[in-house]
Amino acid sequence: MNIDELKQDVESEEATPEEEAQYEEAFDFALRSLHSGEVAKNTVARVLNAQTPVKGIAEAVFVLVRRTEVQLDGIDDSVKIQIAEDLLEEILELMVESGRMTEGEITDEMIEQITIELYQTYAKDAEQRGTLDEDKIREDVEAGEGIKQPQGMNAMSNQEAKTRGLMDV
Amino acid sequence: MSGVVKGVKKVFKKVGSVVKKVASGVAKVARKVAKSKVFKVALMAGAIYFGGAGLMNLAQGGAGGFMGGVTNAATSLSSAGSSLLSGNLSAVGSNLAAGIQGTTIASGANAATIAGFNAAAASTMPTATGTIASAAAPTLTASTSGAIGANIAQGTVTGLSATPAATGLMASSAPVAAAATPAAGMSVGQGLMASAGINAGAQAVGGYMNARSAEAAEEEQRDRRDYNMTNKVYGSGYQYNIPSAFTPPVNNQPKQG
Repeated sequence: MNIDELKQDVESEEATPEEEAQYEEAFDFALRSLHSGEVAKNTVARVLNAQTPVKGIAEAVFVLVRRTEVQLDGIDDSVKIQIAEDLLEEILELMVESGRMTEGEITDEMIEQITIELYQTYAKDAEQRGTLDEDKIREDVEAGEGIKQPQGMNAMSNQEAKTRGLMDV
Repeated sequence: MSGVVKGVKKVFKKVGSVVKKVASGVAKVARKVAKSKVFKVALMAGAIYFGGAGLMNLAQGGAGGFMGGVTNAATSLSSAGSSLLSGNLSAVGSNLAAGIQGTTIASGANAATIAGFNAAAASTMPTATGTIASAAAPTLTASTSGAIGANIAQGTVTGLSATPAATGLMASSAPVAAAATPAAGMSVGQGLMASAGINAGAQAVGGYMNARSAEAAEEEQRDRRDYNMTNKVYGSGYQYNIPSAFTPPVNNQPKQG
């Protein structure tokens, strides 16, 4: 499973008109939440009071995505993902604009860390709410290119495992 | 609903909004995120990687449910100094294996020999050696290997007599050949755990359904900070001026001189 191959799949399909409509609605709500009222105040607090900027930004994006999800009574995963990306961009811009962070600090590695933190936070929340959809996660895992269902415990020989460095764990 | 992998495939037309870009056009940041697709790629890779770890933990009935596996995988990835974006998730699988196995496998060498159950392995099995030494070392005899094996299996080595030390016993080939005895004893110990762990590790990302390494995952203990803003003051113009809200309060400014 190669990252370069995964990249080719990203944004390879046009959203449907229904998804576009839902996205517009979700985007407007999410951005208005970020920029006004109590939610904005709490968002700033989350970012600034967190242990690290990565944790703070991930937490802020998570809360805004969940808020939007609840407000719209559920949104498609593709919309949710796009909203999360938009919010991440916006918060990072605000951080730079306010002098809290320099542009140079915003690297791919940092964005990856935020994404991982966001995924964990979202999954944990879903598990706690009892809404974790195992079938959907299984689909994600199986969709990974190069992933094969194991054929029992002997799917890979010890020799192969050794060759791939797994014996040295 | 589509799932993460399907979800990241969709491309949306960027929406204009009256509230968008309040932070006067630092568009470079947005471009850095959107054009590199790093967020969506990392999310997709993360869903596959962490999803596999979480499901594996669920399948094993590990502590902490789904998040137990995810947390271990994250810890493993972090401690390995690796990255989902480093290019090859197959390699990441070994990190995932380490995370799921936790401390089951103390070292690569130990794991390999235990899993092998060969003569050399038997001579280095700490549990078996310790048991025999404590129970039988003073009285073990050059009795037949079968009898020794049977007695060990029953946990009764006291009927044996005379001299060979436990180490001598373990070095001889006959008892080792009857490896079923120590192996059975190790089924609740390191031996089979390690063996299963290695197999599970080899199947890492894709092998969540059949993996059998029984490692109790740690409960996630990430701190949730209290975001109580009661005593925070960010200025009266705060609501519609987010950039200024991110600016530190005056009394937090470093002192001059």
